[in-house]
Amino acid sequence: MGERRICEIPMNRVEGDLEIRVAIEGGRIVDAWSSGTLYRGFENMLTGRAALDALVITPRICGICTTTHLNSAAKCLDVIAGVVPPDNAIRLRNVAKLVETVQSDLRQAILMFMVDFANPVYAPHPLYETACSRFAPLRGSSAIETIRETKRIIEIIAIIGGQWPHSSFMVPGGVTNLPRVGELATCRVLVQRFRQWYERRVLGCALERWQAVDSVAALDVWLAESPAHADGDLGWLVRLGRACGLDAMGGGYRRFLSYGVADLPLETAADDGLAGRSFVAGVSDGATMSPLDQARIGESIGASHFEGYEGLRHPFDGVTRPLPPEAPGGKRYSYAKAPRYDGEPAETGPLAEAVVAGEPLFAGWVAGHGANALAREVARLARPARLLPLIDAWLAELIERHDAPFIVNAPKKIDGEGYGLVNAARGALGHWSRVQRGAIVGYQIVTPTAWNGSPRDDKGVRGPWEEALIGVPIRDEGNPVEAGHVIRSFDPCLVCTVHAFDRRGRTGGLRIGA
Amino acid sequence: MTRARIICIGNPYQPGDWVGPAVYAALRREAIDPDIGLIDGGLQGLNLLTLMENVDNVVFADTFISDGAPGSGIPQVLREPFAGDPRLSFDHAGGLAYLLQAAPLVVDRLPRIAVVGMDAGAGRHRVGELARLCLSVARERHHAA
Repeated sequence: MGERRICEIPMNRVEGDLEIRVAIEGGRIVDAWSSGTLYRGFENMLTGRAALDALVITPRICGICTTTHLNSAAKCLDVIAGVVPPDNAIRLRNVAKLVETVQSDLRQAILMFMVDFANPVYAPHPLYETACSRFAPLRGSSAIETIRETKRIIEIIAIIGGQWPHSSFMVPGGVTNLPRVGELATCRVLVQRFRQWYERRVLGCALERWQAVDSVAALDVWLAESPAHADGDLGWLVRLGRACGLDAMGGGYRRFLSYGVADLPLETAADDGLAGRSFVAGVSDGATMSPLDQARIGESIGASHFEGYEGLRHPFDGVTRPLPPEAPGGKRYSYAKAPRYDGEPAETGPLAEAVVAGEPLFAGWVAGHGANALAREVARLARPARLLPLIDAWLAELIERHDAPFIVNAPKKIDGEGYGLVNAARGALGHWSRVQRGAIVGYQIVTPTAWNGSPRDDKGVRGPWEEALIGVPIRDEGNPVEAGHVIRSFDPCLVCTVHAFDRRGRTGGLRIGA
Repeated sequence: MTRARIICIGNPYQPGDWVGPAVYAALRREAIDPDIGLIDGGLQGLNLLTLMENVDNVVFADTFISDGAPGSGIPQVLREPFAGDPRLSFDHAGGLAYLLQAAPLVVDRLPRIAVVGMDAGAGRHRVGELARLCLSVARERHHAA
């Protein structure tokens, strides 16, 4: 064994502020600490405000998942108000949220993840030149096309929300507006146009052909079947990922959490191709899926810059009392809390969603080889193949049933407690709220990156991506691209997760001058 | 067609990133020319590309981080920001830079672009002045268009 050294892993191209510290021994990572460096504080900002203020404030947590936070906040208020939104409201909420998910999946995979294949460390590799020509930031052909096409599809959210950005069209009991039939038809055209691009550029085949890939062996057959498959962005991901060893690194815990891809309207013909399993919230060890019980969720602050309790607390009982950051090496090292399910860490995201739903390719991949960085990213880049038909089906149903209600009356004064659980692009997102006399007295937000990027808990158990880093080989400590592959396969979003100060005192805006 | 848009960038809940949202709030109280759109751009980054289409000129209002450089406390205008700048930044200060470098690649008819802002330490008493500067730049370019 070589000398044990502690290294800081520079992590750019993540949303927000993340610092990774690792111990390296014998050329491999033997321990890891993930630190969210900003105090977010939204929970405390919400306390004392009117219950409905959450619809306006929580979407501001993140510039990427604004619609998803709105969806979670609205569901939370549905529960407190004791109302069930009508089917058309659920369809519109689903469409907007899934469009946001699709654009995020494409942008993260192509603009954030694949760009690492253009890292100079891979220069000797025969695929390197093509990786640069396709994925280099703001130059690669795939990078530019992805920016252009994802710009178009989010116009659907503007049409549904009646405003872009920062719409608050989801309210307790439904949505504020049903777009006209012509507008919904325009949305369908946007979806179909995006699908055509996705099939041509990303899959290299029709969605139906990709959906028939039901095992790792079938993935190999698909890859060899046609030059178009191998030359699509997904084909390149598989080829480059294997060439760089991503299918053998970043395992983590074999415990997966999903809140389900969307809420199912009572009457719908939308088909996820999985007998509806993708709509079910659950936890899986890769072999057995158990339905989710949100009462089993708790958060630890044992290694977080917070005070107020020991052990685990359910979000309804959670408190957010920040402490000043400790010096590096201290027991507390992150402004993220440590969510646990049944006391154990759990991974969330597209791979977890697919495994919980029993999607054959990914369930089999995990069962046979364990989770890994490549499987996570393939699940992300392939997820739109499952979501785009759902979006189109719900838009078609909105046109067919245009006269049906899109909102039910909710009481103006609401009291009680509720939670809203949704799958964001990065995984399980939950809002928990308690309201007394119309005012928020407690609000806790547990984000996907809190699950994935959690620090240790009271028992000293590492968070999922801390664990996934264990064993990762680092060839060059000055350019630790392998650690970057693993962390980015979880699609970190620290903006949402950290509970604002930057140690340099710089927190936003446009940098100019010297 | 909207001839000009003023897009205000920043997070009103984050200290040090308040300038754009404050300009938005100030301009909402003003009578703005009907063909100048006022947008609360928040933290939307690439999602603002759509708002750079079908418009003649775009003015971004944002916080400037100038590390105490001379003149940083007063409202300033940057014209053709990041034109040909090969640097990429992905940190909190990187969103607008990335957007402005991506725009020429994917927006078919690029509007004229200016960024107007000041250092967060300049103080809220200068917001009115900054808002008027945004309007002035939008109108100036509008009339020149």
